[in-house]
Amino acid sequence: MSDTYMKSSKPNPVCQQQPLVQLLRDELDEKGMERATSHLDQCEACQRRLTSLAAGRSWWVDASRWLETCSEDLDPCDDDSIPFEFGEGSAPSNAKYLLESGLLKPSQQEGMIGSLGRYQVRRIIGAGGTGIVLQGNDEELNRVVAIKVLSPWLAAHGPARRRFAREGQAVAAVVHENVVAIHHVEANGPVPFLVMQYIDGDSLQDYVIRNGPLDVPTALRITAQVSAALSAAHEQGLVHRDVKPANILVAAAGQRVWITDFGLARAVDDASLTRTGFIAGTPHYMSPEQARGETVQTGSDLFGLGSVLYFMLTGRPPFRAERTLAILHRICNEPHRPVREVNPDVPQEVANLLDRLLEKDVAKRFLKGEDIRTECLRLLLIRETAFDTFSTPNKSPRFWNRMKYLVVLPLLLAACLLGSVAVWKNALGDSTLSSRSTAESPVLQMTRQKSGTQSGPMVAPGPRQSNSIASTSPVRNLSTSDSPLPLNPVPQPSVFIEQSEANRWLTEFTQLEHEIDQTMQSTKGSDGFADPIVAGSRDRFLEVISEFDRLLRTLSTSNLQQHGDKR
Amino acid sequence: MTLPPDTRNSLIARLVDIGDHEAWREFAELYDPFIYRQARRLGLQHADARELVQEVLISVSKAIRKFEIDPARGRFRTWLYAVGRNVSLQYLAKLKSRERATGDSDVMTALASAPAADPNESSEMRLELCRHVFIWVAQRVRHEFQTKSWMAFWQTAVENHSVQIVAQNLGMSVGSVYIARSRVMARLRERAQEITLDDLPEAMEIRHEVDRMTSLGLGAN
Repeated sequence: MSDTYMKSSKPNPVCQQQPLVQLLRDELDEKGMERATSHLDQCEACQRRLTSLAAGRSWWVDASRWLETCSEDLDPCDDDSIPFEFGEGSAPSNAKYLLESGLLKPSQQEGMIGSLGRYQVRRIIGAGGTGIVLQGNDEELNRVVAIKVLSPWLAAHGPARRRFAREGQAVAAVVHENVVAIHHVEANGPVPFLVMQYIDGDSLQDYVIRNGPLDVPTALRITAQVSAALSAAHEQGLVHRDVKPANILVAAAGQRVWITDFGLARAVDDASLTRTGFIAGTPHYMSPEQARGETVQTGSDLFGLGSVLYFMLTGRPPFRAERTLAILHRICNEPHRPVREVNPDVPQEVANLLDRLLEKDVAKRFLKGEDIRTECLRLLLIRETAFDTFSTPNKSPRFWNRMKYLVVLPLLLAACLLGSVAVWKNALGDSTLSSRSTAESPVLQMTRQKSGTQSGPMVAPGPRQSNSIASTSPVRNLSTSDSPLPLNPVPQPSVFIEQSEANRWLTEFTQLEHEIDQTMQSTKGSDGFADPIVAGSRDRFLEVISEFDRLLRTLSTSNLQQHGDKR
Repeated sequence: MTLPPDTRNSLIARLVDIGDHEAWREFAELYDPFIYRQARRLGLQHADARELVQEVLISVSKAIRKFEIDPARGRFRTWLYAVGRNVSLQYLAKLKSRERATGDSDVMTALASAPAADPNESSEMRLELCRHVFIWVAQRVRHEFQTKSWMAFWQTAVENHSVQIVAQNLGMSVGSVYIARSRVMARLRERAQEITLDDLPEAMEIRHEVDRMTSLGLGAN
C-alpha cells in the first residue's frame, strides 16, 4: 500500500467524485486506487465518510469493546507466535528471548549473543513465518554461517518438524551456484536447525524496494540465474513452491543471486504432507494452480519466477489487491497489467517472455527453467549489443521492429578474448566469485566485457540507467572491488544480422559455452575453483577460446549484413 | 445420547444434498463452542454440555430438511445461521429456566418438555452470542487480509491509537490506513450481519421463517 503513496500537491478533487464504495470493495484499478489514497491522505471529510460507510458508529464501538477482550487470539503482534520485530534496536530483547526460551545457550565469547551446538551466534538476521535466521561462526571450520532455527511453536508440531527436516535434506541434494548451500541439518535435537552458507547481501525484495526497479539487463541476468537454479532443483524432483523476491538473495557485491528458503519445497512424489488445506506460500507470487489448491508442479515455480521478473522491472508484483482472496482471484482469473504500461522502458520481447511465464494455463508456460534461461541469454545478447535501441523502444519503434536481431561484432572479438581470460583468471584467483555460474556464463561475461571496452571507461553512465547489480565485468570486479557499482556502458551497435543467423549463432555460442563450462568443471576441485588448474585443462580452455575466436571471425565476415542506417 | 451410525450418515447426506456443506461446517464451528460454553456456564457437566450441543445441531438439521432454496429469500447460509441462533438460544433459555445445576440422564427429556422461554430472559445470552459471533468472524476475516492491513485496523479501531501515529509506525500513508481499516471493518460487519441478522433487510422475514422452522424442528424431537 505504501508504494502507492504519492503526496498530492493538487487541490482536492470534488469529494463527491471519490468512489468510496468501490474503494471499500477493492474494485478500483491501480490508478483509481492511487488517486483515492492520496485524496484520503488529505481530506478529513472523506476519511469520515469512508469510516461510516464501512460501518455505523455502533459497529466501531462493538469492535473495540469485544475484540479487546480477546486480544490474545487476534492481536497481530502475536502473529505466528514469534516475539520478534524487524525494527532496529529490538535485537537485544530478541536475543534475550532466545536465551530465556532456551534456544541459545549463553556464550563465553565477547560480541556473541549466545551459542547453539558448536556455533557461536553473533546476531539475528531476521525472523519469518517458519523460523529465525541467525548469523553465526562455525568454530571448527572457522567460517561464517547462517543458521535457520525452526520456530519453537513449530518445533512442537510434528508435520512442521518433518517439513523442516525435509527442507534440509531436499536442498542439500541440490548443489548449484545459485542455490544457498546447506552445510548441516540438525533435525532431531530439542531445537531443530539448518546451517547454511552465509550470504553477505540482501533479499531481492529489500533491494528493489530500496533502490527502485532494476534495469532490463540486470533483471534478465537475475532471471537467468534463478531459472538455472530452479532447473537444477527440478531435475532433483524438487519444487520450490514459494519463488518470490524475499527468497532470492543478492550478494552485496552484486554479481550473483541465490535462491533460499525451500521451506515449502517438497519432493514432487512426496505425498505425506500434502492437502493439509492451508495456504502455503505468499499469495502475491502464487501460481493459479497453487491458488486453486491444485497440484503444484515445476511449472508453478516458473510462474513465480515470472512474478519475480515483473517485480524487478516494475517494483510491484503483477497481481495486487488488498485481501488475500482478491489476490488469489486475480491470479486465477484476471490478466496481469501489461508490464510496458507500468514501465515503458521494457522492450516488447521481454514483455513477451513475461507473458509466457505468467500464462494461467501451465501447459502454455515455459516448460523448463532451462528454456527460460536460454531465452534470457538470447535477449541479453541482443540487449548487450544494442542497449540504446533496446531501452528506448518508444523513440523509434519502427526502427526497433526492423532491427529485432542485431549483434555487434567487430570489436567483440578482442573483448571476448579479454573476457575469457578474465574468466580464467577469475577461476584461478577467486573461489568465492563463481565465474562458471551457469547464468553468468563466460559467454555473457565476454559479451559484457566487449561493451566495456567499446565505451571506454566503465563508469560512463548509460542514458537511462537505473541501477545495476550484476552488470560489472569480472575483470573490474577483481581489480576494483571496493569501488561503487559501475553502471552499464553504452555500446555502439554497428553490425546487424537477421533472426535466422542470430539463432544459428546462438546455437553455436551455447555449444561453446557448454564446452567452456565443461572445461571449467573439470578444473574444479572439491573446493570450488581454488584448486590448481591442470595443464591439460588449461590448454583445452585456450583451444575453446580460439575456436570461439574462429567462429566470431566467420560470422563477422560472411554471415553478417552490414546496415548503414544508425540512429 | 449418541447418534446411531445410519442417522449420522443420513444427516450428512442430507446436508450434502442441500449443496452447501461448507456452510454447515462453518455453522457447526460457530455454534458448537458457543452452545457448549453457555451450557457449562449454566452448570452442565462436560458430557451433558456436549449432548446439548449435539441436540441443537440435530434440531437444526431437521429444520434444514424443510428448507427450500429460494434465492429471493436470501442465502442458505444466512438462513442456517438464523436457525442455529434461534434454536440454540431457545435451548439455552429453557435450560436456564429449569435451573438444572447438574445433568442427569433425562435432562434432554426435561428440556424438550419445558415451556417456551421468555425472550427477555435470554437477552444476556443474545449479547453473549453477538460477542461470540463478532470474535468468531474476526478470527476468520483476519486471514483474508494482509497482516499490515489488519494491524492498521487493530491499532486504530481496537487499541484506539491515532491514525497518524499508526500510519507512521506501519510505514503507511494516512489514506492507506483509513482504507485498510475501513475495508476490514466493512468485511467484519458484513460477516457478522450475515450471522446475527442485524440490519439486514430480509432479517425480519427470515426470523419469522426461523421461528416456524424451529418449532417444527423441536416438535419432531
